[in-house]
Amino acid sequence: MSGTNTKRRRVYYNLLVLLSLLVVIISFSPLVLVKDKVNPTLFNMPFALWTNILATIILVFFTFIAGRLRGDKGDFSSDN
Amino acid sequence: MQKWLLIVGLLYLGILIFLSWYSQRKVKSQEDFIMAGSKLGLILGFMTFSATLFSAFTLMGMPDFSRVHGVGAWMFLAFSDGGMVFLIIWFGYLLRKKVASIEFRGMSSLLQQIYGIKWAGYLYFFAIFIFLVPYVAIQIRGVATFLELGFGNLNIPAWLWSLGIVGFVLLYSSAGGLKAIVYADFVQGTSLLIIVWIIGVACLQNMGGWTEMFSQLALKNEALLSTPGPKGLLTSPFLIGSFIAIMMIPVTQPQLSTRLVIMKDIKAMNKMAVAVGFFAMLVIFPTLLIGFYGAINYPDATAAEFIGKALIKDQSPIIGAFAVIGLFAAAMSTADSQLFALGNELRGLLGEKARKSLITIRLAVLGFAASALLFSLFSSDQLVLLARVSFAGTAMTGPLILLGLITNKPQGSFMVWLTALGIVTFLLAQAKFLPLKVGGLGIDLFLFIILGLAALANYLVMKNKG
Repeated sequence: MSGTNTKRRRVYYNLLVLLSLLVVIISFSPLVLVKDKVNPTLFNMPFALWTNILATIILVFFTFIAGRLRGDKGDFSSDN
Repeated sequence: MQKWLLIVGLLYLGILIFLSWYSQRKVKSQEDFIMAGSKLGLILGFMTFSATLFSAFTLMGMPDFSRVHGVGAWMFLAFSDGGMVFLIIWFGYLLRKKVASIEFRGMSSLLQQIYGIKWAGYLYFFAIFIFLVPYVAIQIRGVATFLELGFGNLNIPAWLWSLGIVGFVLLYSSAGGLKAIVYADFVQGTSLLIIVWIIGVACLQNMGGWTEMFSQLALKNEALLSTPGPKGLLTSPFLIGSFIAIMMIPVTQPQLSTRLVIMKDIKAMNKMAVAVGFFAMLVIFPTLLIGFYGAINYPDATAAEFIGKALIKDQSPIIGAFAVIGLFAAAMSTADSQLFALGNELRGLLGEKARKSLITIRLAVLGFAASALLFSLFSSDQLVLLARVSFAGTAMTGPLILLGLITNKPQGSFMVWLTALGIVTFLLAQAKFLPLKVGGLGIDLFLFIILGLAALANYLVMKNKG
Protein backbone atom coordinates (compact mmCIF):
# COMPACT_ATOMS: atom_id res chain seq x y z
CA MET A 1 0.00 0.00 0.00
CA SER A 2 2.76 2.40 1.04
CA GLY A 3 4.74 1.53 -2.09
CA THR A 4 1.76 2.36 -4.30
CA ASN A 5 1.33 5.66 -2.51
CA THR A 6 4.99 6.52 -3.00
CA LYS A 7 4.74 5.66 -6.68
CA ARG A 8 1.64 7.81 -7.09
CA ARG A 9 3.31 10.76 -5.36
CA ARG A 10 6.31 10.40 -7.66
CA VAL A 11 4.06 10.46 -10.73
CA TYR A 12 2.21 13.56 -9.49
CA TYR A 13 5.52 15.24 -8.71
CA ASN A 14 6.86 14.53 -12.19
CA LEU A 15 3.65 15.94 -13.65
CA LEU A 16 4.10 19.03 -11.50
CA VAL A 17 7.66 19.47 -12.79
CA LEU A 18 6.31 19.29 -16.36
CA LEU A 19 3.58 21.80 -15.52
CA SER A 20 6.15 24.16 -14.02
CA LEU A 21 8.27 23.86 -17.14
CA LEU A 22 5.18 24.69 -19.18
CA VAL A 23 4.55 27.82 -17.09
CA VAL A 24 8.16 28.90 -17.61
CA ILE A 25 8.08 28.20 -21.36
CA ILE A 26 4.79 30.07 -21.82
CA SER A 27 6.10 33.00 -19.77
CA PHE A 28 9.10 33.37 -22.05
CA SER A 29 7.16 32.68 -25.25
CA PRO A 30 5.70 35.27 -27.64
CA LEU A 31 2.34 34.51 -26.02
CA VAL A 32 3.39 36.59 -23.01
CA LEU A 33 6.51 38.50 -24.03
CA VAL A 34 4.94 40.60 -26.75
CA LYS A 35 6.76 43.79 -27.69
CA ASP A 36 4.84 46.91 -26.57
CA LYS A 37 1.72 44.93 -25.60
CA VAL A 38 -0.12 46.68 -22.76
CA ASN A 39 -3.68 45.33 -23.10
CA PRO A 40 -5.59 43.50 -21.74
CA THR A 41 -5.00 45.06 -18.35
CA LEU A 42 -6.02 43.62 -14.98
CA PHE A 43 -6.66 45.99 -12.07
CA ASN A 44 -5.02 48.61 -14.31
CA MET A 45 -1.83 46.55 -14.45
CA PRO A 46 -0.35 46.20 -17.93
CA PHE A 47 -0.37 42.76 -19.54
CA ALA A 48 3.33 41.97 -18.98
CA LEU A 49 3.07 42.76 -15.26
CA TRP A 50 -0.09 40.91 -14.27
CA THR A 51 0.73 37.81 -16.33
CA ASN A 52 4.15 37.60 -14.71
CA ILE A 53 2.82 38.16 -11.21
CA LEU A 54 0.31 35.38 -11.86
CA ALA A 55 3.03 33.07 -13.22
CA THR A 56 5.20 33.76 -10.13
CA ILE A 57 2.31 32.99 -7.76
CA ILE A 58 1.72 29.73 -9.67
CA LEU A 59 5.40 28.73 -9.34
CA VAL A 60 5.40 29.43 -5.60
CA PHE A 61 2.15 27.46 -5.22
CA PHE A 62 3.72 24.58 -7.18
CA THR A 63 6.68 24.76 -4.80
CA PHE A 64 4.30 24.22 -1.90
CA ILE A 65 2.66 21.25 -3.66
CA ALA A 66 6.08 19.82 -4.64
CA GLY A 67 7.20 19.93 -1.00
CA ARG A 68 4.01 18.14 0.09
CA LEU A 69 4.38 15.46 -2.58
CA ARG A 70 8.01 14.76 -1.72
CA GLY A 71 7.03 14.37 1.93
CA ASP A 72 8.87 15.12 5.16
CA LYS A 73 11.86 13.03 4.14
CA GLY A 74 11.93 14.31 0.56
CA ASP A 75 11.85 10.78 -0.86
CA PHE A 76 8.07 10.59 -1.61
CA SER A 77 7.39 8.35 1.38
CA SER A 78 3.98 9.17 2.84
CA ASP A 79 4.86 9.65 6.48
CA ASN A 80 3.88 13.30 6.72
CA MET B 1 16.75 63.91 9.96
CA GLN B 2 20.17 63.49 11.53
CA LYS B 3 18.61 63.29 14.99
CA TRP B 4 16.45 60.38 13.82
CA LEU B 5 19.38 58.80 12.02
CA LEU B 6 21.39 58.85 15.22
CA ILE B 7 18.54 57.31 17.23
CA VAL B 8 17.68 54.59 14.68
CA GLY B 9 21.36 53.93 13.88
CA LEU B 10 22.33 53.49 17.53
CA LEU B 11 19.32 51.27 18.11
CA TYR B 12 20.23 49.11 15.13
CA LEU B 13 23.90 48.85 16.08
CA GLY B 14 22.89 48.10 19.66
CA ILE B 15 20.73 45.20 18.47
CA LEU B 16 23.59 43.86 16.32
CA ILE B 17 26.08 44.07 19.17
CA PHE B 18 23.62 42.35 21.52
CA LEU B 19 22.98 39.55 18.99
CA SER B 20 26.70 39.12 18.47
CA TRP B 21 27.27 38.83 22.23
CA TYR B 22 24.27 36.50 22.62
CA SER B 23 25.45 34.20 19.81
CA GLN B 24 29.00 34.16 21.12
CA ARG B 25 27.67 32.88 24.43
CA LYS B 26 25.78 30.13 22.64
CA VAL B 27 28.74 28.98 20.56
CA LYS B 28 29.95 25.83 22.28
CA SER B 29 31.73 24.11 19.43
CA GLN B 30 33.29 24.59 16.03
CA GLU B 31 30.05 23.23 14.52
CA ASP B 32 28.10 25.98 16.29
CA PHE B 33 30.44 28.68 14.96
CA ILE B 34 30.61 27.48 11.37
CA MET B 35 27.23 25.81 10.80
CA ALA B 36 25.09 27.61 13.43
CA GLY B 37 24.40 24.24 15.07
CA SER B 38 22.71 22.93 11.86
CA LYS B 39 19.24 22.99 13.42
CA LEU B 40 17.53 26.02 11.92
CA GLY B 41 13.75 26.06 12.07
CA LEU B 42 11.37 27.57 9.55
CA ILE B 43 11.31 31.19 10.74
CA LEU B 44 15.04 31.71 11.27
CA GLY B 45 15.81 29.62 8.19
CA PHE B 46 13.63 31.56 5.80
CA MET B 47 14.65 34.94 7.19
CA THR B 48 18.37 34.20 6.94
CA PHE B 49 17.93 32.79 3.43
CA SER B 50 15.84 35.79 2.34
CA ALA B 51 18.08 38.42 3.92
CA THR B 52 21.11 36.81 2.29
CA LEU B 53 19.37 36.69 -1.07
CA PHE B 54 17.91 40.20 -1.00
CA SER B 55 20.36 42.93 -0.37
CA ALA B 56 21.34 46.45 -1.36
CA PHE B 57 20.85 45.05 -4.83
CA THR B 58 17.13 44.83 -4.02
CA LEU B 59 16.63 48.07 -2.12
CA MET B 60 18.81 50.26 -4.38
CA GLY B 61 19.22 48.28 -7.58
CA MET B 62 15.68 47.11 -8.26
CA PRO B 63 13.96 50.52 -7.95
CA ASP B 64 16.51 51.93 -10.36
CA PHE B 65 16.15 48.94 -12.68
CA SER B 66 12.35 49.30 -12.85
CA ARG B 67 12.68 53.08 -13.23
CA VAL B 68 14.78 52.54 -16.35
CA HIS B 69 13.34 49.30 -17.77
CA GLY B 70 9.72 49.34 -16.54
CA VAL B 71 7.41 46.48 -15.59
CA GLY B 72 9.69 43.76 -17.03
CA ALA B 73 11.81 44.18 -13.87
CA TRP B 74 9.32 41.89 -12.13
CA MET B 75 10.02 39.10 -14.56
CA PHE B 76 13.76 39.67 -14.30
CA LEU B 77 13.84 39.01 -10.56
CA ALA B 78 10.55 37.89 -8.98
CA PHE B 79 9.66 35.29 -11.61
CA SER B 80 13.23 33.98 -11.55
CA ASP B 81 12.98 33.69 -7.77
CA GLY B 82 9.79 31.64 -8.28
CA GLY B 83 11.84 29.20 -10.38
CA MET B 84 14.58 29.22 -7.77
CA VAL B 85 12.33 28.20 -4.87
CA PHE B 86 10.86 25.38 -6.96
CA LEU B 87 14.38 24.11 -7.64
CA ILE B 88 15.23 24.23 -3.91
CA ILE B 89 12.78 21.39 -3.19
CA TRP B 90 14.73 19.03 -5.45
CA PHE B 91 18.25 20.41 -5.06
CA GLY B 92 17.99 20.75 -1.28
CA TYR B 93 16.99 17.11 -1.00
CA LEU B 94 19.90 15.99 -3.22
CA LEU B 95 22.39 18.10 -1.29
CA ARG B 96 21.21 17.02 2.14
CA LYS B 97 21.17 13.37 1.07
CA LYS B 98 24.76 13.67 -0.14
CA VAL B 99 26.06 15.41 2.97
CA ALA B 100 24.36 12.83 5.16
CA SER B 101 27.04 10.40 3.98
CA ILE B 102 29.93 12.85 3.53
CA GLU B 103 31.04 15.41 6.13
CA PHE B 104 30.01 18.87 4.87
CA ARG B 105 32.96 21.25 4.92
CA GLY B 106 31.68 23.55 2.20
CA MET B 107 30.85 23.03 -1.46
CA SER B 108 34.50 23.13 -2.63
CA SER B 109 35.43 20.29 -0.34
CA LEU B 110 32.23 18.40 -1.25
CA LEU B 111 33.07 18.60 -4.97
CA GLN B 112 36.59 17.32 -4.26
CA GLN B 113 35.13 14.33 -2.48
CA ILE B 114 32.42 13.64 -5.07
CA TYR B 115 34.68 13.87 -8.12
CA GLY B 116 37.80 12.56 -6.38
CA ILE B 117 39.73 15.41 -8.02
CA LYS B 118 41.29 18.24 -6.01
CA TRP B 119 40.88 20.63 -8.93
CA ALA B 120 37.07 20.34 -8.79
CA GLY B 121 37.15 22.14 -5.43
CA TYR B 122 39.79 24.66 -6.51
CA LEU B 123 37.76 25.49 -9.62
CA TYR B 124 34.59 26.08 -7.59
CA PHE B 125 36.50 28.23 -5.13
CA PHE B 126 38.05 30.24 -7.96
CA ALA B 127 34.60 30.82 -9.48
CA ILE B 128 32.99 32.02 -6.27
CA PHE B 129 36.00 34.17 -5.38
CA ILE B 130 36.16 35.84 -8.78
CA PHE B 131 32.40 36.50 -8.91
CA LEU B 132 31.36 36.94 -5.28
CA VAL B 133 34.04 39.35 -4.09
CA PRO B 134 33.03 41.91 -6.77
CA TYR B 135 29.39 41.28 -5.87
CA VAL B 136 30.04 42.07 -2.21
CA ALA B 137 32.11 45.06 -3.33
CA ILE B 138 29.43 46.60 -5.55
CA GLN B 139 26.90 46.42 -2.75
CA ILE B 140 29.22 48.10 -0.30
CA ARG B 141 30.14 50.71 -2.88
CA GLY B 142 26.52 51.29 -3.86
CA VAL B 143 25.51 52.06 -0.30
CA ALA B 144 28.69 54.02 0.48
CA THR B 145 28.36 56.25 -2.61
CA PHE B 146 24.76 56.91 -1.75
CA LEU B 147 25.65 57.81 1.84
CA GLU B 148 28.47 60.08 0.69
CA LEU B 149 26.05 61.98 -1.59
CA GLY B 150 23.20 61.99 0.90
CA PHE B 151 25.33 63.24 3.79
CA GLY B 152 27.69 65.59 1.99
CA ASN B 153 27.58 67.98 4.94
CA LEU B 154 29.28 65.39 7.15
CA ASN B 155 32.28 65.25 4.79
CA ILE B 156 32.67 61.50 5.17
CA PRO B 157 34.16 60.00 1.97
CA ALA B 158 32.68 56.84 0.40
CA TRP B 159 35.68 54.71 1.38
CA LEU B 160 35.14 55.54 5.04
CA TRP B 161 31.47 54.55 4.83
CA SER B 162 32.63 51.28 3.15
CA LEU B 163 35.11 50.71 5.95
CA GLY B 164 32.34 51.22 8.49
CA ILE B 165 30.08 48.63 6.83
CA VAL B 166 32.86 46.04 6.51
CA GLY B 167 34.05 46.78 10.05
CA PHE B 168 30.66 45.99 11.57
CA VAL B 169 30.26 42.87 9.46
CA LEU B 170 33.63 41.62 10.71
CA LEU B 171 32.80 42.55 14.28
CA TYR B 172 29.70 40.44 14.66
CA SER B 173 30.54 37.61 12.27
CA SER B 174 33.95 36.93 13.80
CA ALA B 175 32.50 37.07 17.30
CA GLY B 176 29.43 34.87 16.95
CA GLY B 177 30.07 33.01 13.68
CA LEU B 178 27.21 31.89 11.46
CA LYS B 179 24.77 31.99 14.36
CA ALA B 180 25.35 35.73 14.82
CA ILE B 181 24.90 36.19 11.06
CA VAL B 182 21.63 34.24 11.12
CA TYR B 183 20.24 36.32 14.00
CA ALA B 184 21.41 39.54 12.34
CA ASP B 185 19.79 38.38 9.10
CA PHE B 186 16.51 38.05 10.93
CA VAL B 187 16.66 41.69 12.01
CA GLN B 188 17.98 42.84 8.64
CA GLY B 189 15.40 40.91 6.60
CA THR B 190 12.53 42.21 8.72
CA SER B 191 13.85 45.78 8.49
CA LEU B 192 14.23 45.48 4.72
CA LEU B 193 10.66 44.29 4.25
CA ILE B 194 9.11 46.95 6.49
CA ILE B 195 11.17 49.82 5.10
CA VAL B 196 10.65 48.93 1.45
CA TRP B 197 6.87 48.79 2.00
CA ILE B 198 6.70 52.09 3.89
CA ILE B 199 8.62 53.83 1.11
CA GLY B 200 6.72 51.99 -1.64
CA VAL B 201 3.34 53.06 -0.22
CA ALA B 202 4.57 56.64 0.29
CA CYS B 203 5.70 56.73 -3.36
CA LEU B 204 2.34 55.32 -4.49
CA GLN B 205 0.49 58.04 -2.57
CA ASN B 206 2.77 60.69 -4.08
CA MET B 207 1.86 59.43 -7.55
CA GLY B 208 -1.85 59.85 -6.79
CA GLY B 209 -2.68 56.17 -6.26
CA TRP B 210 -2.67 52.93 -8.22
CA THR B 211 -4.67 53.93 -11.32
CA GLU B 212 -3.03 57.32 -11.61
CA MET B 213 0.42 55.72 -11.41
CA PHE B 214 -0.15 53.65 -14.56
CA SER B 215 -1.76 56.60 -16.37
CA GLN B 216 1.27 58.78 -15.60
CA LEU B 217 3.68 56.04 -16.64
CA ALA B 218 1.89 55.70 -19.97
CA LEU B 219 2.10 59.46 -20.50
CA LYS B 220 5.77 59.57 -19.56
CA ASN B 221 6.90 56.63 -21.66
CA GLU B 222 4.52 53.87 -22.75
CA ALA B 223 7.44 51.49 -23.32
CA LEU B 224 7.78 51.25 -19.50
CA LEU B 225 4.53 49.26 -19.44
CA SER B 226 5.75 46.35 -21.54
CA THR B 227 8.78 44.30 -22.40
CA PRO B 228 11.51 44.75 -23.58
CA GLY B 229 11.25 48.19 -21.93
CA PRO B 230 12.40 51.62 -23.14
CA LYS B 231 16.01 50.53 -23.71
CA GLY B 232 15.10 47.20 -25.30
CA LEU B 233 17.13 45.26 -22.69
CA LEU B 234 14.50 42.84 -21.40
CA THR B 235 14.32 40.54 -24.40
CA SER B 236 13.58 36.80 -24.18
CA PRO B 237 17.27 35.70 -24.38
CA PHE B 238 18.26 38.20 -21.67
CA LEU B 239 15.38 37.16 -19.40
CA ILE B 240 15.96 33.44 -19.95
CA GLY B 241 19.68 33.86 -19.19
CA SER B 242 18.77 35.81 -16.04
CA PHE B 243 16.19 33.19 -15.05
CA ILE B 244 18.77 30.37 -15.21
CA ALA B 245 21.45 32.42 -13.45
CA ILE B 246 19.12 33.43 -10.59
CA MET B 247 17.49 30.00 -10.31
CA MET B 248 20.97 28.50 -9.88
CA ILE B 249 21.97 30.77 -6.98
CA PRO B 250 21.24 28.23 -4.18
CA VAL B 251 23.10 25.58 -6.19
CA THR B 252 26.18 27.60 -6.97
CA GLN B 253 26.58 30.18 -4.21
CA PRO B 254 27.88 28.71 -0.95
CA GLN B 255 26.20 31.17 1.41
CA LEU B 256 22.83 29.81 0.26
CA SER B 257 23.79 26.14 -0.23
CA THR B 258 25.02 26.19 3.37
CA ARG B 259 21.64 27.50 4.53
CA LEU B 260 19.91 24.51 2.95
CA VAL B 261 22.27 22.17 4.79
CA ILE B 262 21.81 23.81 8.19
CA MET B 263 18.02 23.59 8.15
CA LYS B 264 16.68 21.28 10.88
CA ASP B 265 15.12 18.81 8.44
CA ILE B 266 13.68 18.45 4.93
CA LYS B 267 10.22 19.45 6.11
CA ALA B 268 11.51 22.78 7.46
CA MET B 269 13.56 23.29 4.29
CA ASN B 270 10.55 22.74 2.02
CA LYS B 271 8.43 25.17 4.01
CA MET B 272 11.31 27.62 3.97
CA ALA B 273 11.39 27.48 0.14
CA VAL B 274 7.71 28.44 -0.06
CA ALA B 275 8.19 31.23 2.50
CA VAL B 276 11.16 32.61 0.52
CA GLY B 277 8.96 32.64 -2.60
CA PHE B 278 6.34 34.75 -0.81
CA PHE B 279 9.01 36.96 0.72
CA ALA B 280 10.49 37.55 -2.75
CA MET B 281 7.15 38.73 -4.11
CA LEU B 282 6.50 40.88 -1.05
CA VAL B 283 9.87 42.57 -1.16
CA ILE B 284 10.13 43.06 -4.94
CA PHE B 285 6.66 44.51 -5.50
CA PRO B 286 7.24 47.77 -3.58
CA THR B 287 10.62 48.23 -5.29
CA LEU B 288 8.64 48.48 -8.54
CA LEU B 289 6.44 51.18 -7.03
CA ILE B 290 9.54 53.14 -6.01
CA GLY B 291 10.95 52.64 -9.51
CA PHE B 292 7.75 53.86 -11.17
CA TYR B 293 7.82 56.90 -8.90
CA GLY B 294 11.33 57.58 -10.19
CA ALA B 295 10.30 57.04 -13.81
CA ILE B 296 7.61 59.70 -13.42
CA ASN B 297 9.51 62.21 -11.28
CA TYR B 298 13.20 61.63 -11.93
CA PRO B 299 13.52 60.00 -15.36
CA ASP B 300 16.85 61.65 -16.18
CA ALA B 301 18.56 61.52 -12.77
CA THR B 302 21.57 59.29 -12.10
CA ALA B 303 20.97 56.11 -10.08
CA ALA B 304 22.45 57.63 -6.91
CA GLU B 305 20.51 60.91 -7.30
CA PHE B 306 17.24 59.05 -7.81
CA ILE B 307 17.76 56.73 -4.84
CA GLY B 308 18.80 59.65 -2.64
CA LYS B 309 15.62 61.53 -3.51
CA ALA B 310 13.14 58.62 -3.54
CA LEU B 311 14.39 56.91 -0.39
CA ILE B 312 15.40 59.89 1.72
CA LYS B 313 14.81 63.45 0.56
CA ASP B 314 11.19 62.92 -0.49
CA GLN B 315 10.35 61.03 2.70
CA SER B 316 9.68 62.27 6.21
CA PRO B 317 12.81 62.50 8.42
CA ILE B 318 12.00 59.37 10.39
CA ILE B 319 11.33 57.26 7.25
CA GLY B 320 14.49 58.66 5.66
CA ALA B 321 16.47 57.62 8.74
CA PHE B 322 14.98 54.12 8.58
CA ALA B 323 15.81 53.97 4.86
CA VAL B 324 19.49 54.76 5.52
CA ILE B 325 19.67 52.10 8.21
CA GLY B 326 17.77 49.74 5.92
CA LEU B 327 20.42 50.23 3.26
CA PHE B 328 23.16 49.58 5.79
CA ALA B 329 21.29 46.45 6.86
CA ALA B 330 20.75 45.27 3.30
CA ALA B 331 24.41 45.67 2.38
CA MET B 332 25.55 43.96 5.56
CA SER B 333 23.12 41.04 5.41
CA THR B 334 24.51 39.85 2.11
CA ALA B 335 28.13 40.85 2.66
CA ASP B 336 28.38 39.03 6.01
CA SER B 337 27.03 35.75 4.64
CA GLN B 338 29.14 35.84 1.49
CA LEU B 339 32.37 36.71 3.27
CA PHE B 340 31.75 34.05 5.90
CA ALA B 341 30.92 31.47 3.21
CA LEU B 342 34.10 32.32 1.30
CA GLY B 343 36.08 31.88 4.51
CA ASN B 344 34.42 28.55 5.17
CA GLU B 345 35.06 27.35 1.61
CA LEU B 346 38.76 28.18 1.92
CA ARG B 347 38.92 26.43 5.27
CA GLY B 348 37.35 23.33 3.70
CA LEU B 349 40.15 23.19 1.13
CA LEU B 350 42.91 23.38 3.73
CA GLY B 351 44.57 20.55 5.61
CA GLU B 352 43.23 18.92 8.76
CA LYS B 353 45.23 21.10 11.17
CA ALA B 354 44.20 24.43 9.64
CA ARG B 355 40.63 23.19 9.38
CA LYS B 356 40.34 22.52 13.08
CA SER B 357 41.24 26.07 14.02
CA LEU B 358 38.67 28.85 14.04
CA ILE B 359 41.49 31.34 13.52
CA THR B 360 41.73 30.09 9.94
CA ILE B 361 38.17 31.05 9.08
CA ARG B 362 38.45 34.37 10.93
CA LEU B 363 41.62 35.25 9.01
CA ALA B 364 40.08 34.12 5.72
CA VAL B 365 36.96 36.27 6.30
CA LEU B 366 39.23 39.22 7.13
CA GLY B 367 41.23 38.66 3.93
CA PHE B 368 38.12 38.47 1.76
CA ALA B 369 36.65 41.53 3.45
CA ALA B 370 39.84 43.45 2.64
CA SER B 371 39.65 42.26 -1.00
CA ALA B 372 36.01 43.36 -1.26
CA LEU B 373 36.83 46.71 0.32
CA LEU B 374 39.66 47.25 -2.14
CA PHE B 375 37.51 46.25 -5.10
CA SER B 376 34.69 48.53 -3.92
CA LEU B 377 36.94 51.54 -4.50
CA PHE B 378 37.07 50.81 -8.22
CA SER B 379 33.72 49.21 -9.10
CA SER B 380 30.91 50.88 -11.05
CA ASP B 381 27.44 51.81 -9.73
CA GLN B 382 25.40 49.61 -12.09
CA LEU B 383 24.22 47.37 -9.25
CA VAL B 384 21.73 45.13 -11.01
CA LEU B 385 23.70 44.47 -14.16
CA LEU B 386 26.91 43.76 -12.22
CA ALA B 387 24.95 41.49 -9.88
CA ARG B 388 23.61 39.66 -12.91
CA VAL B 389 27.17 39.05 -14.16
CA SER B 390 28.01 37.68 -10.72
CA PHE B 391 24.97 35.35 -10.73
CA ALA B 392 25.68 34.18 -14.29
CA GLY B 393 29.38 33.62 -13.54
CA THR B 394 28.77 31.41 -10.52
CA ALA B 395 25.94 29.65 -12.39
CA MET B 396 28.57 28.18 -14.76
CA THR B 397 29.40 25.70 -11.99
CA GLY B 398 25.73 24.60 -11.74
CA PRO B 399 25.83 21.62 -14.15
CA LEU B 400 29.06 20.37 -12.50
CA ILE B 401 27.46 20.49 -9.03
CA LEU B 402 24.15 18.91 -10.09
CA LEU B 403 25.93 16.12 -11.97
CA GLY B 404 27.97 15.32 -8.88
CA LEU B 405 24.88 15.24 -6.68
CA ILE B 406 22.45 13.20 -8.78
CA THR B 407 24.60 10.10 -8.93
CA ASN B 408 26.85 8.07 -6.70
CA LYS B 409 28.90 6.80 -9.64
CA PRO B 410 32.27 8.43 -10.36
CA GLN B 411 31.79 10.99 -13.14
CA GLY B 412 35.38 11.45 -14.29
CA SER B 413 37.12 14.76 -14.86
CA PHE B 414 35.56 15.85 -18.18
CA MET B 415 32.98 18.21 -16.64
CA VAL B 416 35.57 19.76 -14.32
CA TRP B 417 37.73 20.85 -17.25
CA LEU B 418 34.77 21.84 -19.43
CA THR B 419 33.42 24.02 -16.60
CA ALA B 420 36.85 25.61 -16.25
CA LEU B 421 36.79 26.36 -19.98
CA GLY B 422 33.26 27.77 -19.64
CA ILE B 423 34.27 30.11 -16.82
CA VAL B 424 37.36 31.32 -18.71
CA THR B 425 35.23 31.91 -21.83
CA PHE B 426 32.67 33.84 -19.80
CA LEU B 427 35.38 35.98 -18.20
CA LEU B 428 37.04 36.68 -21.56
CA ALA B 429 33.66 37.72 -23.00
CA GLN B 430 33.05 40.09 -20.06
CA ALA B 431 36.49 41.59 -20.70
CA LYS B 432 35.45 42.02 -24.38
CA PHE B 433 38.18 39.67 -25.68
CA LEU B 434 35.40 37.38 -26.95
CA PRO B 435 31.95 38.30 -28.28
CA LEU B 436 29.13 38.74 -25.74
CA LYS B 437 26.67 37.09 -28.13
CA VAL B 438 26.78 33.78 -29.97
CA GLY B 439 24.15 33.18 -32.65
CA GLY B 440 21.73 35.71 -31.12
CA LEU B 441 22.12 34.24 -27.62
CA GLY B 442 23.95 35.93 -24.77
CA ILE B 443 27.25 34.22 -23.96
CA ASP B 444 25.89 33.16 -20.56
CA LEU B 445 22.83 31.43 -21.99
CA PHE B 446 24.97 29.83 -24.70
CA LEU B 447 27.41 28.46 -22.09
CA PHE B 448 24.56 27.25 -19.81
CA ILE B 449 23.17 25.23 -22.72
CA ILE B 450 26.57 23.74 -23.66
CA LEU B 451 27.47 22.88 -20.05
CA GLY B 452 23.98 21.51 -19.32
CA LEU B 453 24.02 19.25 -22.38
CA ALA B 454 27.59 18.14 -21.63
CA ALA B 455 26.61 17.21 -18.05
CA LEU B 456 23.67 15.19 -19.37
CA ALA B 457 25.89 13.41 -21.93
CA ASN B 458 28.51 12.74 -19.24
CA TYR B 459 25.84 11.23 -16.99
CA LEU B 460 24.48 8.95 -19.74
CA VAL B 461 27.94 7.79 -20.82
CA MET B 462 28.96 6.95 -17.24
CA LYS B 463 25.63 5.22 -16.62
CA ASN B 464 26.05 3.00 -19.68
CA LYS B 465 29.61 2.13 -18.67
CA GLY B 466 27.97 0.01 -15.99
